[in-house]
Amino acid sequence: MNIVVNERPVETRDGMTVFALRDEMKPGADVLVVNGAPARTDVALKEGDEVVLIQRGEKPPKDELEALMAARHTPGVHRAIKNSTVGVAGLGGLGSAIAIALARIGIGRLILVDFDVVEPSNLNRQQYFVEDLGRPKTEAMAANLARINPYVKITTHNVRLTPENVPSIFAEIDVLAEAFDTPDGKAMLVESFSTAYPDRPIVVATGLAGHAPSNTIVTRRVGKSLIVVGDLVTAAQPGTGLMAPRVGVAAHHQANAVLQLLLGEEPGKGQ
Amino acid sequence: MTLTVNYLGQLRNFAGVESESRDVESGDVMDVIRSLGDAYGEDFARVLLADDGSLRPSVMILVNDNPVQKDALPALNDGDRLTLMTAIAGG
Repeated sequence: MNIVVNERPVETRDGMTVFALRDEMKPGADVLVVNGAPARTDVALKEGDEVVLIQRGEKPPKDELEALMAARHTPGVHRAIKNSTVGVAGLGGLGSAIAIALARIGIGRLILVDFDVVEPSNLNRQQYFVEDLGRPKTEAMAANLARINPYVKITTHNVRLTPENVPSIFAEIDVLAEAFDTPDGKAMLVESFSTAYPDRPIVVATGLAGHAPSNTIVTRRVGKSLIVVGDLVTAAQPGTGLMAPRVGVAAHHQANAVLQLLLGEEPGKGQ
Repeated sequence: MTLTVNYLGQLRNFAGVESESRDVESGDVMDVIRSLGDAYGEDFARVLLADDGSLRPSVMILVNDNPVQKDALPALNDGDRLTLMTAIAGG
């Protein structure tokens, strides 16, 4: 029968089990993953199974690393998103977390846009480090993403987005994640992107400040191509700050909505 | 003519409904918004309109489920669906 081991096709005998396969191919492997799930007990393999054998502590060869990183994805997901391009407009609390989540699942290409530099008050919620202070966010995030997943193609634009440049900067994307701070900027981006590309989805966040219950942040489809994440009412203002937990909840709603859209699923359905 | 009007976020709270069928006299979006402000009060109107009566930059308007540009609002027709929301700060 034919199976896939560490992303390479392998022909093996009928009745092969995952433990026997390990003993034959990589005896030192101590992390065994079958079809995206860890195999802690021996299981019989069947035609088409996808197996990943990892030896803890071993630095894998570069040509195997990508497959090993993707081992915990549901089979098929990685391949489906590998050819996708996602735009992230703004690299603050939302955008930095969205970019990292999408890089970790192996999105093909990210187009990252921000005009600002990392400053100390960003560190309460944004995915940067003390040593990033003073660097343009685009530059710092590209460097951090390369350390997480060097296989993601990153394009950065260190500019302020305007109605004039939105269509050209995001011309090649499949889905856009809005991650601005200001309400006016959010509305501008929706209008300019949706006018230029009415059939391409944009995932917006609004209402994520403070420490109100996490589950008041929801994902909903508001228009044919407009997905909105948030509680829609809790604005950042004096007394209601922006903090990592709730901003992170919203950012990961957005990242998951992007993933669902790329997989042809309906964000927010069934919640 | 009759529109279906959807309200999100603060507008939903001020209007007290998420969606309603509404008879309007004009197909002009600004006329419709002003009439909704008259119906639902000052707080509702203030979410959408600045002191000079223009739309706030944070407002998002969808006609028949498509976002439209505030500086090029289309004329509404009988049976159209108008969705009103405003983006709020934070990111």
